[in-house]
Amino acid sequence: MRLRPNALIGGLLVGALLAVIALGLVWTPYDPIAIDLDHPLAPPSWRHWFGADEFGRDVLSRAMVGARISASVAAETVAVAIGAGTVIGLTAGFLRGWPDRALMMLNDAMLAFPSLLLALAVIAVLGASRNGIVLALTLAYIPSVTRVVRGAVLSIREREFIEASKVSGDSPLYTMARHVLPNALPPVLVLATGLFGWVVLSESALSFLGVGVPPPAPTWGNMLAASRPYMETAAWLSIAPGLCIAATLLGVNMLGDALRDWLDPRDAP
Amino acid sequence: MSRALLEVKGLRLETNPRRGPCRTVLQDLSFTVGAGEFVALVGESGSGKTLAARAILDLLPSGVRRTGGSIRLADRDLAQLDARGLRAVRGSEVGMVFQEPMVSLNPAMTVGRQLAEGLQLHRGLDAAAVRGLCLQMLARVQIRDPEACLRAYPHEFSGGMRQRIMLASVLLLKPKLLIADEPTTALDTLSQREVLDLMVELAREDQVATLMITHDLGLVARYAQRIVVLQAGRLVETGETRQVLSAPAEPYTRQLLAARPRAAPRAAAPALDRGPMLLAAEKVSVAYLGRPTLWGRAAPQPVVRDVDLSLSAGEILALVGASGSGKSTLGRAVLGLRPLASGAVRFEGEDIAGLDVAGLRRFRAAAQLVFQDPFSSLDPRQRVGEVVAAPLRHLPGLGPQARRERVAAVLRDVGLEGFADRLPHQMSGGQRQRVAIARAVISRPRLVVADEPVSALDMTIQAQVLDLLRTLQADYGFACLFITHDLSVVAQLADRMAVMEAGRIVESGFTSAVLAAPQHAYTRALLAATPRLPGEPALSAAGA
Amino acid sequence: MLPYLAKRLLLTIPTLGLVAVIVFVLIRLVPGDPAVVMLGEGADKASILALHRDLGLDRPFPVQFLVWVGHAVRGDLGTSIATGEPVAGLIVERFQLTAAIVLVAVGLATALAICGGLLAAWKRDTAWDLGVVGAATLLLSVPSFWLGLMLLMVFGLRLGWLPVVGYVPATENARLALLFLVLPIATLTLTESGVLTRMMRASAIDVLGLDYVTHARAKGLSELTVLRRHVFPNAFAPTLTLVGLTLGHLLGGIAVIETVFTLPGLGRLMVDAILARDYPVVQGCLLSTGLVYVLINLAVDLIYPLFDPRVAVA
Repeated sequence: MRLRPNALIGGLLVGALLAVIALGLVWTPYDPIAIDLDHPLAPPSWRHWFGADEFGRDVLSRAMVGARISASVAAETVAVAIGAGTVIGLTAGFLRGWPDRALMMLNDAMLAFPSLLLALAVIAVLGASRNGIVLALTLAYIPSVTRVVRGAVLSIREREFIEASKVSGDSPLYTMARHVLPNALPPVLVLATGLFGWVVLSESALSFLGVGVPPPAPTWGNMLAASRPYMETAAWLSIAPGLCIAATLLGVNMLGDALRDWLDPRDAP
Repeated sequence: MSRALLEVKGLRLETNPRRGPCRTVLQDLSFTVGAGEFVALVGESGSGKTLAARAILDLLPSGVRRTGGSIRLADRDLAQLDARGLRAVRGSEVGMVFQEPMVSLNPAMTVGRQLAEGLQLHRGLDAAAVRGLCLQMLARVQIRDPEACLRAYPHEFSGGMRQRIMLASVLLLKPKLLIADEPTTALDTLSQREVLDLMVELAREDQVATLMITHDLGLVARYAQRIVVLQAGRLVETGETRQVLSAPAEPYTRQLLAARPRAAPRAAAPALDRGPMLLAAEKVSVAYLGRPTLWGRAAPQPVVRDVDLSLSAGEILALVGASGSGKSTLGRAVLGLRPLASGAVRFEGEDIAGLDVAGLRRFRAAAQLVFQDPFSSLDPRQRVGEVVAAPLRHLPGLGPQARRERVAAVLRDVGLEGFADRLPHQMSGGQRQRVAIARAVISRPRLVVADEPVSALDMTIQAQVLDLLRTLQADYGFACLFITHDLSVVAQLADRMAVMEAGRIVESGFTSAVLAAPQHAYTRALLAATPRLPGEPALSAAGA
Repeated sequence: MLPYLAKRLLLTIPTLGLVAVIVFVLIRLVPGDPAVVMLGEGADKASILALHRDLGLDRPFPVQFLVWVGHAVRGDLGTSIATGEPVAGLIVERFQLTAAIVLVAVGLATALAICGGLLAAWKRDTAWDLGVVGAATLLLSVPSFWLGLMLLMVFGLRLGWLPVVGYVPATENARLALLFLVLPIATLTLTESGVLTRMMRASAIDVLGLDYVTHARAKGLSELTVLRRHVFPNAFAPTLTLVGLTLGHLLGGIAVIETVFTLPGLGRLMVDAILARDYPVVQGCLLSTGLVYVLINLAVDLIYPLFDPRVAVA
């Protein structure tokens, strides 16, 4: 199997992200929340590679810790949303009939709210906190997962090896676990990578709007939000966190593309 | 034949090196088609016949390219033409008909617009003239309401009708050469006959030469003047059809001919003493749910109506019918896989609708199914060993060791020794169908329903799989309900046969008797439409 | 055809009902007494009880819901706690600006996606394809609000070509209003075109492999005609569905763009209401966004048969 450029670049970017997170656990150049009022808005230099913010905090250190917060929020959200959505989607596709119709109608109604808006509304109810964000984003993205899983289940059910399993004498539940679920997983896996990117984006958007993970904990989103007043005098404050988000998303998206190509049955000989 | 209309010389095709290693898919192919002549290009899948045909108009898929040879049409070399010159030839001088009528017409455009396209482009006629020609052409291909057809979309027509529309669209421009790529492979026997007869007749009237790509030697014998046989990208044999088919020079051609199903002695001497009754369908009707509408559902669509059917232990009963006749649905209904609208299915005297859990488990082990499509019937993530072992899970008293031995024995019986660790995509279609057969017989069933088990396979593979089924049936002694649309397979295999049309069984009896003296008009039409080689014995007196 | 349209129309009614239920339930989940939230912690018992009566909070849940829906259907979404203005009026006023930006941006993004996607699919595995896919993936990965900030920094601050902060309604100064809208629209167009282009390319590749495209070529049609007449309509159908989803999704995502460019749109209204705990406004924004989303998807489904007549039969 040839290594595709997608897999290479995506793997490098995601690997770099993981390395930065790991490094940030044990060491950062400076204390990310230590205020140094002698050097506010210090431009990028050998002392501060990415410069310093209005309180003299080191941007690189903050971005490293921000990576951890953003990635952990996204990972938790994706895990819960994929798990719950898979269970709901499998149940709907398995039961069919009116339970399926009822679940899907509710699902479609949930999808009628843009996910960011739904997350905003849930935060309005719960208040802004790290776990509140995870819960809000999870609720916002479950319907999309449910839809994909149910679609996969319905198309797999039509294939003849499902009928073959029935002819062999297998119970519906066994068929579901042994044949439907494993074949539904590849599209879910591809979805999970895409979802990770969307959640990183949504989380940073919420932080940017001021309803995300509360300060002083640094996230890429609230670093961007805080940088706005200094756009003219300290552009580096806006550039660094944005580049971090873009690089993460690019890596995840390319890895997702590589995964999709690799799992695509049409590529099989 | 003076000078050839089409002269292909030294044609060579290779895969594009940009995607993986370069492979030669067609080597040094030369053949000719004379003006007004009908030539058949014959081969199995992977022989390169379709690519060869597409190369003529440079319509190769992006992964393949021409690396040598000349393609002379009349006095020009198509291989030397630039894109513009080639476009002037396409459609106007050489027309092409495709295999899959379901995907060869644009679903988003009305038939009228698609027909008009070529005329407007090459002939520059005004709208009224185009419309007149289209109506005239649709009438010639026997479309009932040409006016309405122009306004309709392709999805509103059946496969056979679409293939007529396709034919109309190509012949409208009166090309000198018609390339037909397996034009009727996707159709059932009757439509196949109608469409091909029409194609040949129109080609003769308009003096169009035809190059037909096919795998069916019966069709070649019926229609083609000359034949070109390909195998794995190489020319094997070419010559007058009559001569090649009656006295093939090459072993591969002989192999192809031998693979054709022909009447076996078995059908000639029916066993009059039938065994004990195994399966009985009594007044069975099956209906599909109607289409959902605004207020609930439309009336159910009956697909099987009041069918009586019986099968004795160890007997082979062929269920014959066109696509959509309800034969597959009936086959699944007797296995309890489709709910009955009315009637009952009895297996060894017991109504299968009334079985409890244990009874159903026993029934499943005793009654198995082989599917038509060996690609969809195997779980792509399961290894062959697991696939074949699946029914054993429900047999009591089998330890892991006994199971392994049973799997190994069955795999040996179907000729797949040592394949237990393969995944389905690592095998050919024929091998996959053997796996499906192994799965069906491992529990030593007393009934196997085989739903068109060979129609998706190549000719030579078909013969091997049919042989395997017959051997296994003799060794294992199961009764078989063999569903097929191919009368020659029936003649070769079945003790008795039943003919289905529009959900009803219109005729049944011993195979030799039915074939010798078909009573129902539908059976007679089917028999007449079944392609046959000149030297071959007739399926029956009436079929001759 | 007609039954398809009627069915599609009728199916939106239960969806809209559920949308209303979700909005209602969500807001009722807010911890604490809405009246206390609205009046502030120090409010006296009598005025709280009076507000309860006014809001119908003393009645059972289903009745509250029906009363609320009844008002909403007549265009009464209550009044803002913060400003005392009617919520419906606020939303209509803010929605006009948001709708204009979103519609223009998605329209431009769709046009870009069609051209880019068709080109990439047609020139598959060439430098053209690589360029289009690379650019699309990059755009897909750039957060819209960051791209907005960067554009603002370059064209607003460094080059000074375009105004940086603020907004003038088109009714007052059309030329200036347009200048204020250039950057937000450009930002959204760029970020949304990424996903649409990739979708268009993928479905165009599928269509290019089908026999009817080869059939069209075999008729002698030029490549441009084949692409325009045979590939585009069939490849566009799935993209059209995505365009509908994008339009809806942007009603939420626009909030960050409006924040970057300080535009008084619907998204900003909702965020400000959340920050100020102005629940009638939050409720109204949610309900109207859900409504618009359902209507957009209805519209998409209604024009879908133009590109794929097969669905009208099913």
